[in-house]
Amino acid sequence: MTRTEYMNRLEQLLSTVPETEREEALSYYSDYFEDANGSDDEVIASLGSPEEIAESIKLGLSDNGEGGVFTETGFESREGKKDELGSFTAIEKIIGEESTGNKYSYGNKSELREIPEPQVNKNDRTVLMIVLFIICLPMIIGVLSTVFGLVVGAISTIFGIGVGLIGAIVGLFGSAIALVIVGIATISQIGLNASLVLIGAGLICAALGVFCIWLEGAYIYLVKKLIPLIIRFAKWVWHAIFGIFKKEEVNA
Amino acid sequence: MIFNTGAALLDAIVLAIVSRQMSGTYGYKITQEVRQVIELSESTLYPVLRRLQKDECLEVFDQQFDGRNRRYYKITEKGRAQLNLYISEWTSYSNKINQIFEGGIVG
Repeated sequence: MTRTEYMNRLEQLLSTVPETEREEALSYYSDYFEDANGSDDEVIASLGSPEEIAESIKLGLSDNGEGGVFTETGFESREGKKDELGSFTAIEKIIGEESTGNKYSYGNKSELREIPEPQVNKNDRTVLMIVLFIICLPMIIGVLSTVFGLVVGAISTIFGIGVGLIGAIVGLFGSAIALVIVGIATISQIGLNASLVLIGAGLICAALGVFCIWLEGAYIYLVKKLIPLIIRFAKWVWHAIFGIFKKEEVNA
Repeated sequence: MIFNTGAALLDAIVLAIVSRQMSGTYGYKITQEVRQVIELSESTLYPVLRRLQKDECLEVFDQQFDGRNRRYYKITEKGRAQLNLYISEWTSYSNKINQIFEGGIVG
């Protein structure tokens, strides 16, 4: 398995975790490959399969906030959570309150105890999210419509200019050919000078046509750069709207 | 090693290792340094770093290295306070264990 295959597989396996978490993890492991001084095979051998990595990431996410016990006798891992990773996945949640609250007494150990988790009723949370979603719906629809309009407008404009240029090219070359043919054909009727003027005009049209071809080429190049930007903008707007909800889901 | 390393002790080790680098350090290096102390599969560290980051004990920043962005981890004030707590707890814990082993404390 190559590094690319490994990372692709990992991305696939993480498709169920929130996007920010997925990107975070992927960039971590891509850094890891870069920093580990070894062949891809060696690094993969030491990391383990993508399945194991994905499992450890998911466990890390789901374990977040569930309690272990912090007692006088030291730290006790939560039982029953041990898996192939050893006891490291057992989470002792003692971080979070100590810097603000008085939950920890540095001097008196008998007061050290398990920190009660904030009680969040998941059902209440879900109902709240749905209500919030319904309230925000008109706004969301408005924003989405605007974005949709902008994107369609942008694409139409881009497309329109491209097609317009092609039209100009065809027209210019058509005129060029017509002018040259007419110039040559009518030489006996209108005289050499007039005929040369017509042929000259035809050549100018051809030159303009060539210029338009160049313009079209440059334009297509520009558009190729522009489209990813538009897609990124659309994605950004999408995340700005739904990121809020996703974040809430993660916290819930 | 025959003794398990609990999550809190692992947190403490990671915080201590990160705190040694004032300007921040990165994932691979942290992993290797942790592995010098305890047995640890290389995939174990990421969830720990991520959780410490979410708990605001570590902060991250990206810095150019070798023509790419590398993620660096740095200990926060909160992380330092947490580490100090771990250290004082560990000291008293290991002292008691040592005393038992040396026959100091009797029922």
